[in-house]
Amino acid sequence: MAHTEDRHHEVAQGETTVQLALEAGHYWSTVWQHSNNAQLRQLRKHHNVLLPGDVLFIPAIRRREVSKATDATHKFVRKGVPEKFNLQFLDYDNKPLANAAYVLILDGSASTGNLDADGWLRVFVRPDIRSGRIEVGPHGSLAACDLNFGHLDPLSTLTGVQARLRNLGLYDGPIDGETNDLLKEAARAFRLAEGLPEGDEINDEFHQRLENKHRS
Amino acid sequence: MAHNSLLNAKPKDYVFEPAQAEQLRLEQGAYGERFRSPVAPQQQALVSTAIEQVCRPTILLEIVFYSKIHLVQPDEFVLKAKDYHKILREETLLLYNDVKDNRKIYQEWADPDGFIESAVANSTAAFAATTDAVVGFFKAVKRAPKPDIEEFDKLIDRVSKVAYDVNAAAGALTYENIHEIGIQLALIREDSRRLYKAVDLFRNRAIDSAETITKGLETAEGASFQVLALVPTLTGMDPLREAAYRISLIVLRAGGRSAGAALAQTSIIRELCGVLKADVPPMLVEVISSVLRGAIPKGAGKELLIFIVKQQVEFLCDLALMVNERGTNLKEDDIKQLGMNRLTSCLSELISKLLGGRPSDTGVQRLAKSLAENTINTLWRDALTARETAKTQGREFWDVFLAEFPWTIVKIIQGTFVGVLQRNASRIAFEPHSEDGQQKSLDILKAQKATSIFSGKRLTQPNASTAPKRAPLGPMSLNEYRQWQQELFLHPDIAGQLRRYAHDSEQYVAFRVPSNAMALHASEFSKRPKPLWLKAKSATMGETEGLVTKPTTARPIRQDNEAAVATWEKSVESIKKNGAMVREDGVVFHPDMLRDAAKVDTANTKNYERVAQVLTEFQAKGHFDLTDPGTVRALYEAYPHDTDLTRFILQKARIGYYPDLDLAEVFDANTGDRIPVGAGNEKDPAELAYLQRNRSNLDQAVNINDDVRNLPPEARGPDGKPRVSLDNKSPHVQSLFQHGADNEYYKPGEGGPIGVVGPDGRKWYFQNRDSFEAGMRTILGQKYRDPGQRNVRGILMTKNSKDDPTTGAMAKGSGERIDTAKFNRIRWYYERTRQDTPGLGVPVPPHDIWMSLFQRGLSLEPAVFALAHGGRWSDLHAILQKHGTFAAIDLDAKNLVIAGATPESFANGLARLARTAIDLGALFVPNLTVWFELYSSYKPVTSDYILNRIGGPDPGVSSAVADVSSAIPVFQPKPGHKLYAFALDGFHPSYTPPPPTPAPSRPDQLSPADRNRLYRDQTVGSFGLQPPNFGKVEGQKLLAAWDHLTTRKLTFEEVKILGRPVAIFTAGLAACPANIEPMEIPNLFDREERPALLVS
Repeated sequence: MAHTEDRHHEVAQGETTVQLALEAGHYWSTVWQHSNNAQLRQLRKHHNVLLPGDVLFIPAIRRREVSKATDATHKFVRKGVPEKFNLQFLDYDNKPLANAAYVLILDGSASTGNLDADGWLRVFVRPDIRSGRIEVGPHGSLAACDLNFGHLDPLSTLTGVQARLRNLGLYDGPIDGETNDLLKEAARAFRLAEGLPEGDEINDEFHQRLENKHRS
Repeated sequence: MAHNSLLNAKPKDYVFEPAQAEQLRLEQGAYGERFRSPVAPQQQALVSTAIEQVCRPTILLEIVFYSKIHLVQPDEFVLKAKDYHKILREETLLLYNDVKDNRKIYQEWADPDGFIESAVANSTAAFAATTDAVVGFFKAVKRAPKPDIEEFDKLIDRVSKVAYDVNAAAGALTYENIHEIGIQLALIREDSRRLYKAVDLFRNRAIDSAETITKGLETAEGASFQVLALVPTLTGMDPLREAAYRISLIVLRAGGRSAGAALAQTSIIRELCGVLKADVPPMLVEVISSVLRGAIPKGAGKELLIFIVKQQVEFLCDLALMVNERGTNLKEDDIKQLGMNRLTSCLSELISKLLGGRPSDTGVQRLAKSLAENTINTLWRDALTARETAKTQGREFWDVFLAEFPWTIVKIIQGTFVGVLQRNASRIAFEPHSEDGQQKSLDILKAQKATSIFSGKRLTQPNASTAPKRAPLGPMSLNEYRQWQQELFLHPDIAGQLRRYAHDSEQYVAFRVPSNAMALHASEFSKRPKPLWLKAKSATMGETEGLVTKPTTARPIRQDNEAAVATWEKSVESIKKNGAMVREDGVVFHPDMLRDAAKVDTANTKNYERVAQVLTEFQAKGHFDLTDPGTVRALYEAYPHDTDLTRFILQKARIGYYPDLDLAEVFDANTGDRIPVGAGNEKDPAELAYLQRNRSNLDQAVNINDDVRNLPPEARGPDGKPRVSLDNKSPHVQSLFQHGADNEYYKPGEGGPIGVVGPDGRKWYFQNRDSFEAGMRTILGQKYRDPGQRNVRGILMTKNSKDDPTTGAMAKGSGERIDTAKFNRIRWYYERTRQDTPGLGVPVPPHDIWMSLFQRGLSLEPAVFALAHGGRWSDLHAILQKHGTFAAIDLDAKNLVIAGATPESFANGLARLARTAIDLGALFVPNLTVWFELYSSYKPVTSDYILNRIGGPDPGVSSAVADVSSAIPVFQPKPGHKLYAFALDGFHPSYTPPPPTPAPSRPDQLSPADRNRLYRDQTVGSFGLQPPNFGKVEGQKLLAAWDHLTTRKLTFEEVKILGRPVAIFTAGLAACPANIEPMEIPNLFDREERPALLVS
């Protein structure tokens, strides 16, 4: 639904700039790079990793006229559609699940393929995709998980830390931004694995290591 | 004095092979994840597009301690490696002490100069007559062959070495180290178990040989109990099982004591209660404490626990005494009164300790009463069930009750703790801000870690053992064994295990009902089910029918003999490798079977033994096929003196392998998911074995022995034990199936009868795949899904074929999600349309027809048919099979419905009905009202025509029209006319069931007809269907349309079979709404609509 007026949108869980821009009829960059979003850009590193409550400015749709000859076929390409989805699979020893076969189910459609030599799944998806499931290896024996798109919060928040630790298979507690025993255990395990001083503290260095490990 | 068994023993009797790591069959421990799985089952990844991110699944590591596998996540291992190491250190020390203690005990037995001798001597000193016997006995014990005591020393050395490794590992807590130490300890424990088995054999022989020294024997038994008490430690029983074991031991001892005093039965029970009250509470508390690992809240410590357990044990004893003494006069109120007071007081005590406050507080009292009521109800049911079971199985009440006794106690303890903890913790959800509730709740939640360990559950992880407990499945009765054998042709060996497996794993296991060949050999205990390595086919004809037989062109063993020969060729190597042989008549056997056969033909035991030996040696030289004259010659040359005997015994012995069971499908009873039991091709033999074992802890599940007293005589060996042991020698349930579900899954139309065993111990028989689908639909209810939709986790089945609509339908609409209902409709429509390429109409699926009949309370049971005719069920069955039709009868045996579909054409469908009626004519009595129902096109038909046409002047009936023309006049040729099409006009009543029978106020006054109807309603209801209440059931009236060649004027007349009109249904009644519901026809499948009657 294209909007004819400028508006400020409060981001909800699961929403990304790309989704919101698509809904508004924009290319995502048009929205993200808008001068009214400069403050948000400073706060968030990536346009698709927002925090619920962030306010995103979405400008009104601009009408554009193009002159084209009649009796001819013209091709118009919508920018930013589809989006790239990149997910690397590691085994417990942090080695990539190289070339492993996968089944990806998105919006009821299943597709199959193989991860690349570095264990990466790189596929194009609809920008407004919300959920899916992937199974790697025969019957999901190497990895199997539900995918919740847009639910990755910024690393600077505790929910972002919880989400990343969960993706790394270290944490299976709630994503609620609360410190709990399971999170402490996960933090302790991560610090141990990363060679950080023993403990469960989540500090800047922890954030840095986690970002490196999770790649985002 | 009989010293034979002791002195005649051979040293090799006491020799055992050390265990290898791959032989260890470790059970699941109480700690960690329940299921072995490479990945966490419910992992979620929180992701975003356009960025890079990582997903690293969790895996599970196997930690072994106390001979049990505990599955933990690697991160958990890192955190708790020190704890595991500590446990292993303790285990090592314990094992070291145990082996040393056992050595000491054995030394007393092996060289009785110590306490046993003095004890026996003291106790027999008063009886001069026995003194010589005692002296003789000990001399014999010293002289007799016996286990080598050095075996104990070897074990002690091994434990010492592990102890060294454990100490060394303190500086390197790697997974490999911890795992290896656990395995080594398990191996030592297994070897000590084997050693003790040999010791036990020796000890028993010694006791047997001293049978005349009564006093000595009594004392020896006392000592043997000391030894027995060590068994749990030696075998590494888990705490709960240990409780069960120890209680059994106590019962045994009490029984022994009182038996000696020849007390009356009630006195025995009283003494038993005395023992239980004195010995059980401290022991149980010890067990519970060890399980809870000190995590019991401090306020409610050991003393409180002892108090509670004492109360409960006393209550149980009182209850048991009361049930036993007062029998049927016992009232529920008595029990409740007895238990309520005691339990409420002790629970109040506990709750007040846990939650604060005084035991007399109203809130505490209320909670305590509520918990007590639940507990009492459980106990009441347990006690009555035990009494009922004891009655039906001819056992003592105590025998049954005590078998469940430890679990009952555990259930109460668990109910008390977990109930209080969870109830309190739930405050967080409901009263998050209430005064002091939150902090207390948090404290209690922390304490719940203890409960999670107690129940074997890991926090936040699903766990089968914490699922709501289901009613336990009792052993099969003799009658049940017989029923399973008669109805499903299942051998008693298999029936019990299959039923137990389905229950324990909460699955519906569907299998192809074997030919009755399997049951043919049920009474011959030297025959065995076909093992996994034996792929050859069994004979379905000839003298060796029902046994795995070598096929040859000259001597075919089955219809598909060529395939059997090909399979044989593939199986030969495996047969040789596994030591099996072929008899001269082609039957495959194993020489070991002769030893079983010898138990029947006891006069020739030595001959059987000799022949088994000869054949084993002969086989080892590479010979195996005695149908080959060359092999027989070789036998003559190698064993000139034994060959005739060998051939004679082989001819005489009733040995061989009967067929395996073919799996059709396995359903998860909780979700309806199809459980993968193979990749769907024949290259995955026994996939079930591996998958299911991991999924369901199968070993544990099938190792439960059914009560041998309920085994039919043919399933028992001469020693009275199951002739196939249900434990380690047993073919586990997975080996009953040689391969996965093969391709049945994709071929819903084919196949013979299918049997289903459910988690509640019930069984079903379905005539074919379609009635199986209909049956599963009713059994599973909402959980049922079409065959293509049953994969786990709801992943839709996809195929590579471009012709398959699934892929197309799902990909259609560029991202448009197709919901399940729509998908089903499209797929269903596609299937029907694809089958209807010639445009001749498509039959309604048989399971819908079956449902139509069943839902109207009609019976397909042989017993009901028997009311109406004098013929045999097999005759009726054969007729229906022959014509592909259904027949069902009402329970009063007054109405018979013959139903069929239109598999080829409408005319053929009619002809099938007519032929069925003609064939059945001889069987049924005249006063039976016969109804004919024909189930037609998938597509809703209008009231005035059917798309189907017969085509040309030929009515389309495959064989001669003459055979049905008398039954259906429209098939009689008419000069100047040709039969062109059928038409429908108006409606016509078909069989309508009488209304449901109201619940009777006086069951004894029900008329037989009403009783039948009540039974019908209950039967239909038990399938989750509404009792039949259709009101008037009408089908459309079938008319024939005749094309007059000259005038083209159409003439109509009603179609009747044997004088009865035929009703047409376009779908099964209410069974398949999709058949009736008008559907949007996708363009893909669109086709030209044809006029009502085409004129050629």
